[in-house]
Amino acid sequence: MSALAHAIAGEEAAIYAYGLAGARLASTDRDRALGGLAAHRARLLQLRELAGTSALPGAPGGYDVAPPADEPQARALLADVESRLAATYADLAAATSGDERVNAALAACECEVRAIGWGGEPEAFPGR
Amino acid sequence: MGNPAPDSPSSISRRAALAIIVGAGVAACTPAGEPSPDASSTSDTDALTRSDVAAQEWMLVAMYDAAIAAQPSKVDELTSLRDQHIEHAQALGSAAPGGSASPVSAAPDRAQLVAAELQASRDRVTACSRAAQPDLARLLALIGASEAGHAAFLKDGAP
Repeated sequence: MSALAHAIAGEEAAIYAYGLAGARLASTDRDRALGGLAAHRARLLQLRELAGTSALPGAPGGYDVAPPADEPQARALLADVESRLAATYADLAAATSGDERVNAALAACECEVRAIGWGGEPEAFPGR
Repeated sequence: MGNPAPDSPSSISRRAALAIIVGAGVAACTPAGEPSPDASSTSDTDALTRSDVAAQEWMLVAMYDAAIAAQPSKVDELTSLRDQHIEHAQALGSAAPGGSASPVSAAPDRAQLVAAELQASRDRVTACSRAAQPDLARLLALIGASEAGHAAFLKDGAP
């Protein structure tokens, strides 16, 4: 799978994870969750455009991910997804150039900021 | 948002599944970046980028040292961030600060650390965009993300 296909799959997984986690988050985290979800949707559209329809991977049939049982698990799930997606975007930066690379590097930054927002620990090399 | 598969209760399987879905990462992913046409000059440029960014990382380490000295109550939190900048410098190939590392004149406060991390993150994205070698681009993207995360962490925490 190409770095771009990985990033698309990662964004789809992140959107799925926000859906799973949303039910368990505190109401005070609602804005943060909606903001994260909107950001991932926008990035996914951007990546799909970049890929062109012919290069789209098959739609995922579902993920083997247990729904979080409580709020700490929901936050941990999102922190984990965001930090891993930051690493996926770093791979995309490596595989691209010009504006596409800048966008991928910025997306990696945004993912890591959200990971910290969900309570993730700072990392020297996010998702690695 | 369909229902998740039944019988996937453990957090280990969740992490494993996410690792596959989201983090498939370096090993599985062949960098598609085209090799540079002029290998010698681009590797010179990349070597310069590495040493420049490493020098900036050592300056951040010095900033944290000054902040830690001025705020001993925050030593654990600040030391962990400081150590990550050392990891950044080492990953760029710099084992120790250069001899000309200038001491930080005054201890930075939290807002100054946030500003320095944000500036560093922006600078890493710029350096990433100029890297010839895909591996260096990946490393700089990761370092930039780490530093954006540092800024968010410092902003979230109590002053």
